[in-house]
Amino acid sequence: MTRPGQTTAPLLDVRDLTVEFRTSEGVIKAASGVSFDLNRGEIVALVGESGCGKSVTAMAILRLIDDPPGRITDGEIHFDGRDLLREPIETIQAIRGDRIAMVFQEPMNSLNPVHTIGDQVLEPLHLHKGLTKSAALARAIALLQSVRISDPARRYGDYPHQFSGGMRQRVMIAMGMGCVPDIVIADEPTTALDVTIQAQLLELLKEQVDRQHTAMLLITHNLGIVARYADRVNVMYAGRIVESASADDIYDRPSHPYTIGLLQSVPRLDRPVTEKLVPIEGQPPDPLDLPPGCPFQPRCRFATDVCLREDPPLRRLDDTHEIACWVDV
Amino acid sequence: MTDAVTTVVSIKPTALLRQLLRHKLAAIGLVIIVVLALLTALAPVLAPYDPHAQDLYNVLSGPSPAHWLGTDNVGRDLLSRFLYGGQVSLLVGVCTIMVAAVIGIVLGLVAGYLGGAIDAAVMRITDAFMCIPPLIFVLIIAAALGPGIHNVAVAIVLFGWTGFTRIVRGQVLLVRELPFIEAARAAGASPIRIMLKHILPNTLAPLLVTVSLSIGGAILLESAVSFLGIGVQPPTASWGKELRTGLNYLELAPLYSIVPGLLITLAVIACNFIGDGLRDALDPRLRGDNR
Repeated sequence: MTRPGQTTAPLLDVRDLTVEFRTSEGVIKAASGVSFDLNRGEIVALVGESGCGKSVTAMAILRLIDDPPGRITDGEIHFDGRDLLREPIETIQAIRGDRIAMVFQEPMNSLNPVHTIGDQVLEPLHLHKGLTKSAALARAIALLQSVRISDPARRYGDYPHQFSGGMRQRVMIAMGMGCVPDIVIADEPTTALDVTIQAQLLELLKEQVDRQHTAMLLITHNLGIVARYADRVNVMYAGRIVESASADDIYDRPSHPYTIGLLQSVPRLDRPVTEKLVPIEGQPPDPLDLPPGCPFQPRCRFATDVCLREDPPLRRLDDTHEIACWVDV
Repeated sequence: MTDAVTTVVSIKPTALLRQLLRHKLAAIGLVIIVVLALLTALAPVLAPYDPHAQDLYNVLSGPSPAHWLGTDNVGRDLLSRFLYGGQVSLLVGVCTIMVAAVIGIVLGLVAGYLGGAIDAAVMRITDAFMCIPPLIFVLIIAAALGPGIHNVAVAIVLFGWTGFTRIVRGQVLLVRELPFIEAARAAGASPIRIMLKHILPNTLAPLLVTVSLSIGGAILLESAVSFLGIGVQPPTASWGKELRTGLNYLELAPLYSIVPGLLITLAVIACNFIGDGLRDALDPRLRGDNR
């Protein structure tokens, strides 16, 4: 939530980020003109269905897009007075894992099977802080403790296959938090886990963020998670942000037809049980062959002539609420 | 084991050894190799005679209490010569493969991780080397450099790296796409660190199998080249060379060529058994079968 009276520059400021992938069939714009910012202590969510560009946006922040086939063709990412897109890769390497950490979406495969849990938790610390061996051991145990791995002194030497999925994801969180980063990017941190474990992990992430006054970029397709944990929400569709608002506004006053559709298609506890779920008709557009005008227009109930002709820019509804839509719904 | 990725296997040395010993053939192979290695390594202690000491009054004698396996055509004790000869054969087999493996691993890692033009160049060179039959290749190199065991070793190394390059590259291509490599990059690891610490250990399983099979191949190759007279030069002994010389006296002193032949066979079979055992131990799909 943007605090009233806050005038300092945001911690992370993404401006007009455009990422393209060159494939044999043509150029895919995975993200086009994505802009948002992130303040200290804030949790910002990027929401959207698979392929909407939310993960690409996250990867681009740390310059993790493989080139070829991917390329960041435009934009600025300001962090700590620098534009991350114009720094040499060595600078980015020093920032990765230290100032900006990432928690990945596949706990099953995001740990290296041949190294012990302890070694991997210490990897960022080893890379960035150069800890001595005895200090490192104590730190690894403390980190595992902080994500509530029981008996960390013993489990420290275990291999990933001896850990369950939820435990591995907690190890990933411990890895991410090891260097006390300014920003944590959590890319679908709970996707492969069951619901109770999801809740535990998100509480854990939020607790870590609160304790260290870190900012978090939460990438998810799960609106339930967003409602509970995010301060601000950016809804993405076909590589662009279509609605940006505080989490409360997204639920109370969704204004983009896509957001409205999303909310109508998931069951909600604050609505009568008898209420029908309304799916969004159609399929997300083919990224190689975007429809003319607004990319959501073929599936939109409110589409008008102008929607077919021109791609709507983001426009302000009020201080904290923006949508990319020609129509006032 | 890893859940989704069956081709990446974590190796713990003690567990691997235990599995290997449970595999009957591999256990036999391991015992044979250890015994052969000990016998040849301890040749200076075990050998009853100096392998170069001639006794021209006592040539091609059959087995006797003084000379257990008899003597050769210039009266040297065959047992002593076989023990010392094993040093050459086994050492060449192991050392050449180690050097070849290091070269192959480095090239495979670089080709697989960097990809693109470098990958294409390295792999085409590898293909070119692999087109040439091994024996011809080693003969050509040895002939060009001149006979001698060092040149044969160089030739085996020059020939041997290709297999490792292919295997490591294939494994790198597979491993580099796994999420933990992305995670390592996101943690700030440099490309070299990712290659050495995160990718290389994950290529070890198929590599170990190839190393052990290749050592058998290299022993055989060295024997073949020595048999043809290009390898070790007199008076040094090696199993292949003794086999060749003994062939001339097959009727007078059959053990002269039969024993080195057997030793070569044993060493190669043992290496192959170990290789098979490693393959079974490291392949989760075969686990629990045929035990």
